[in-house]
Amino acid sequence: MPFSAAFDLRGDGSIDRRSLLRTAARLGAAAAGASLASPLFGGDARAAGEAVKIGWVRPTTGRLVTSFAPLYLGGGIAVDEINQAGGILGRPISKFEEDDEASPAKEPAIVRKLHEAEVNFAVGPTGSSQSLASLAATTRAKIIQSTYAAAAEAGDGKRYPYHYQLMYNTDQQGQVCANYMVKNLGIKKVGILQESTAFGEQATTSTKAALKALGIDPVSVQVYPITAPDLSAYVRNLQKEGAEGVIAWIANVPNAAMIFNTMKTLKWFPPVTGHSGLFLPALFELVPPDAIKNVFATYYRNFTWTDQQKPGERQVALAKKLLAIPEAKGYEVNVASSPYYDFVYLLKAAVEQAKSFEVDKVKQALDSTRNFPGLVGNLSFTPDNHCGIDIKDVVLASVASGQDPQAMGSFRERAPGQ
Amino acid sequence: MDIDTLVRGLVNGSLYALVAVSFNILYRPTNVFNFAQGELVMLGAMVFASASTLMGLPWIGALAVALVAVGILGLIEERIAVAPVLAKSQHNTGWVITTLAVSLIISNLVGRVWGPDPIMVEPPPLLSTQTLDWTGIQINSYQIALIIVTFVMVLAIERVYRTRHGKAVLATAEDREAALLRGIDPAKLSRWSFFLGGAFAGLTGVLAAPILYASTALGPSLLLKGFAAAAVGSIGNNRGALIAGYLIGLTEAIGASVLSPGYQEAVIFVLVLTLLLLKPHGLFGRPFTRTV
Repeated sequence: MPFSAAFDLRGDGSIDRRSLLRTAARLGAAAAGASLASPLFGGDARAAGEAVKIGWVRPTTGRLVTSFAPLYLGGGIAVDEINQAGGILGRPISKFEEDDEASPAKEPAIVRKLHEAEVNFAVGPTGSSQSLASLAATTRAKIIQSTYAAAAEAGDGKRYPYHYQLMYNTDQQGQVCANYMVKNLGIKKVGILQESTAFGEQATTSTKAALKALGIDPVSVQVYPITAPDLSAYVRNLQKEGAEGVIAWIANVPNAAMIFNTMKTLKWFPPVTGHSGLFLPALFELVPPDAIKNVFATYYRNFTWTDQQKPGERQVALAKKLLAIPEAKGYEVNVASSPYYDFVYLLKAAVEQAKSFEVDKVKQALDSTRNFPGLVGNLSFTPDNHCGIDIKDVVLASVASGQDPQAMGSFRERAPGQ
Repeated sequence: MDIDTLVRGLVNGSLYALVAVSFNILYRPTNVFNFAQGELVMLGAMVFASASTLMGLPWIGALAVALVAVGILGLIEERIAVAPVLAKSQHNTGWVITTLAVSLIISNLVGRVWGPDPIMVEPPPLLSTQTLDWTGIQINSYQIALIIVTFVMVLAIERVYRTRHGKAVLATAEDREAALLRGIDPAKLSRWSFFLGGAFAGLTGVLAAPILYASTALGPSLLLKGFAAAAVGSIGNNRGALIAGYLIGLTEAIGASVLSPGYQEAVIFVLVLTLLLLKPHGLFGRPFTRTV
């Protein structure tokens, strides 16, 4: 509307007083109507087409950059796939990157930044200590989040109502390992070898509880510092104390290599079960094949094969994509077992079900999710249980099978009887 | 306790002694503890691993590349992080922060360049890490060679201190200002010491790699116990460092065998604290008096 028409200008260019008041009243009514209409129709309609920000919390500086970078590749692939397919409710996803330097101390400040930037969803951080530090803050800020935290408490929906754990936790890993040793192999004398970290502590506590439930106490628990230059004494102690099987919570390759090489020196090859960190191909360069022939690690059933069962089409498609990404080389297992690919798709499904990006509505949709077909398994949540992984989807797989051509980087052969 | 325990103690003790000696080389003419020493050890192993596996250089060639590269980095560290601090005042302790900063920078860069995966490093030709059962003792030829090389290196360093240049270093360590008045250039000695200390740290990394693998975790695993060996053996005393390195290595191994491996860190620190309480200047140090 032209200015003169809006205010009914007089012939000499002055504004008629009545006309001014009438026009002002009209504008005021329009403004009031708009402000009233906004909450009714929600910010979503106003923001249609505007990118939805997902916090992307990961180290881009510090010594863990290269270790953690591959874990976010799956999430990045999911974001690209969703954006190519039209985004979520027509809105593309944009990653709101924040560098946490993999330091738990940095997490509260990062959550504050996300909150100030009105970021309601977050991927990361990675690591149990970092995640638990972040969760304390994101819970208050009501940011829906999925972290890379194996700690069982991270899946407690009462404690962390906005966090969704899309990976197996230490309780599940302990249970799978204990069941395999006792039920599958019939071993009664089980030793535990644990790195002295938060993960190691939690995993050992879970393992002891799982063994206890099977009526067994470990014959020996050996805890080693990850910087120890010699781990042979710990392995010898397990052997001396009569362990016939070892549940080993080792999350780094140099320690694993030292341990398996000691077993080779001692010519002692008990069945060993442990964490998926043992799958990294770097281990094959450091340890002779016979030292790892009896070594198995926890993994997702969907990423394993048997003579009768092969991995699904979607899993194979991801594995093929990873083979084409140079940064994923050697870390395919880490990418495949990372929760971020499934989380981005789960978030999309929840938003589409809620038809809203509002946190409480999305949370409600997530809490009522049943059997969402994730890559790692069928994911289900309740308001109290936020660990989406069913223990049936967690199996043990052979470490040595990583050298089999069927592995394609991401897959491993399921342990017998699993 | 079995003989194997002693072998493990001697092998680890050799590495601690070498790290302690590399601390001493830098400390003597500068009175500076290089907090980046662990990273220089790690860098030596990583450069050697890349030179031998990726570039395909023979063992001796890869060793030369590693020593020169880490030596030059030590020299750069001295120029950027230490000399400017000492130029302001000889008693300025700002090097604590600057060498720590160098340590963080190296650790970040190495993480980005080489990544988190350890690299297998082969021992030199004619030696092997295949363990042999030799009259009931589990040992390999590389471990024997490492123990011998450690003795040889410490004796060689001690001989260097008997030369004219070495005596200049000792004079500077005794009294920097007085050495300057006698025509010694402490700044030049400082530069040389950082180059040699860096190269020695690189050598330690190369020697440790066939046993501990070349990885970013190598530095931290040796730094603390190497520093403890330097302190127990009296700072600046290489023979003391050798003996203290073995003392710590053997105590660690015997403690793990007799008590529990879980206590091995605690056992070492109890030993170090006790020795330093009884002999605050280390096993071979003497109280220093100066008349002014």
